[in-house]
Amino acid sequence: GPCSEGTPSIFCRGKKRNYLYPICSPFAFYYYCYRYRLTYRRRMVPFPGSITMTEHESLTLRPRYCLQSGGYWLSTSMPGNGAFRASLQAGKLTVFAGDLLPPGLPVQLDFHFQLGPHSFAHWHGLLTDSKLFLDTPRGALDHNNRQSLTATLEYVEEKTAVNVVFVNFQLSRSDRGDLLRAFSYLGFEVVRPDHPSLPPWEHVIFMVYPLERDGGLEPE
Amino acid sequence: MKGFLEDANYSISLLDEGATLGDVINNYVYEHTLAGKNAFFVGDLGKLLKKHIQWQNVMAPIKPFYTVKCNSTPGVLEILAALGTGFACSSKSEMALVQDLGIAPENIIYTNPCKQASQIKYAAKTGVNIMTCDNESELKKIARNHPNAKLLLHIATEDISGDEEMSMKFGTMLKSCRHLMECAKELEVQIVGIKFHISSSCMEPQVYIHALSDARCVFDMAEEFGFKMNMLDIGGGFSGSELQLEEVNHVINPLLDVYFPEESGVNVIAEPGCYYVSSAFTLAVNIIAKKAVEYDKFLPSGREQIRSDDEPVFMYYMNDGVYGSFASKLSEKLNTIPEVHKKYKEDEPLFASSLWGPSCDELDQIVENCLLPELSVGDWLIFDNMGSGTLGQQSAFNDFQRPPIYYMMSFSDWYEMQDAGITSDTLMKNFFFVPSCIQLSPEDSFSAAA
Repeated sequence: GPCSEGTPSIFCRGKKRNYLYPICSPFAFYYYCYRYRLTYRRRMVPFPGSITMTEHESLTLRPRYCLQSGGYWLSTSMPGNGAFRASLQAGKLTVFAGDLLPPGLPVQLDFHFQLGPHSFAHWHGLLTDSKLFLDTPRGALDHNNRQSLTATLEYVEEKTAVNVVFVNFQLSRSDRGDLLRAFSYLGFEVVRPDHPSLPPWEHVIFMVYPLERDGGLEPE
Repeated sequence: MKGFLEDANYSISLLDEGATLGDVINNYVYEHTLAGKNAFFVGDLGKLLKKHIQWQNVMAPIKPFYTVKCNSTPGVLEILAALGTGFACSSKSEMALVQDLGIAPENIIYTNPCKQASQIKYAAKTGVNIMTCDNESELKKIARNHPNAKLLLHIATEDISGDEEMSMKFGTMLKSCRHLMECAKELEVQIVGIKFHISSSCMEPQVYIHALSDARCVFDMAEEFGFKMNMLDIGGGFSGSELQLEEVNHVINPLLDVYFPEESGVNVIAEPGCYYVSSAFTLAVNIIAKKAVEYDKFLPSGREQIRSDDEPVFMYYMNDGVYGSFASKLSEKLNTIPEVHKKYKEDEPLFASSLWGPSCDELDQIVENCLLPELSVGDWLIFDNMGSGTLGQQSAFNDFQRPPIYYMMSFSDWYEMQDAGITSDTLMKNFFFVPSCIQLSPEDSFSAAA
């Protein structure tokens, strides 16, 4: 691959052309940024050695673009193709699943909820290993918009095998205090920043919502 | 020492007239100093009794449903169960806790604004029917999982002065109520009442007046739809202060008489949480590190420098922080002033100091600036009013090792409980008597004759 032996980590950043838009449009490209952490172990053998690679799960991939429209943080729906592999409609909620990168790496999962005839709330997420990390949009918990989170969490609980949902938001957000209180009222708890389950994203707060999946209930 | 209190297996020290909360704290500070200096809580359960009596005197017949999330430790729940309060739960584990105490499901309401389907199913299975709802998605989810639910429609209030709570974000607007009721009718889910919530920092009686008239209006609308409405929940927001309680009562009582008189058959309830527990718990923490910094580095930029001397300022790191018991500090101001435990002289010089938690995180600050005498590593700081928001249910995900809790009650409070006929077998077996002349220690304790 593109990694040279002995380099402890590689950093890939780039852009891909989005041909739906002309080159002068702000949506002409979408940007990706991911980092892989690879550990090399070489067996000391007399013949040409084999190298075992352990790939650290890479969670430095941030949802940088909207899977549906290819644009960054759009709150109105626009026809177009982002890079989603599949989409699913459940009432007012549309769920987009991103392309699978090299297998085992996190998958982007976007939840778009229709608030009104022309407005949507977008929750962009990363799914990895039964954990879902959601980016918190602006105005996430205002009156109307909260239903977008309710619908998203309900979908996740009923239709996926996710055990833990995390929301995250920038430390520097002006509504940080409100978000902390409101999420906590909904049952989220702040996670200590050095918790091993957290991705290495800087300057964000994570709050966790463990799904109380119960094997003890008799099937209806 | 730590084994002294473990979950459901706890003890309550009964103190006679000679002993005080201060003595209890001193005793545990002494014991902990000898053994690891872990932080600890002391909970005075007699204070819960006093708060309940105060509630009955001022607010009766409004029945309190205690918000379990504020503090779900066993001593608190058992005392409140014995006192006969209801319980407002926000998760399956809270409902299970309360039901384990033998509380009937009619005395439990389920109040999370975003309930998980598995939690709703659990409520259905165990007979907890009354739950709150403030939007269509939630309504549909409840209808799918608990068709016999009895809903309290949560309406929004104008509470904009409350910067500690977020009532602007919860509750449905009046104009959406009709639509919600139509949905409920279609889904065949019962609406039985209204809830609203006004935060404790709201000073305007107008907000209560409007909330109650809105509630009356929605009641009438619901009755048009054929719902049988019999419950009004005035929410929480009671700080614990008697004065505030009386002020609220002064405003709402006449309105309740007008809008929801006794003949109307409407049960009025409330959801006090920190009202009961906030002042009952004290947290003792230990200083694990200390840093002296120069004055100009200490001040946040932009602040005027009022001194130019070389006096140091101190940063103290404690063994509990925002990722532990001080979690609420992340979103609101601390409403307690730390007290230095050790004795110091009156004329001891004071220094500008800041207090931090044990993680190296920039957010882990407990007190930005206060004046304290110079302290050393190993000294103790005492925070009172630490009962609310500190000891709720922890998820399995959170691996924070909670400080031990030592419960106590003064003998006079205990007598008062007996006089009022409040008994509980489970409570009784947990008491042990501590004469003031003997130093508190589990080895010295002996069971009180019941």
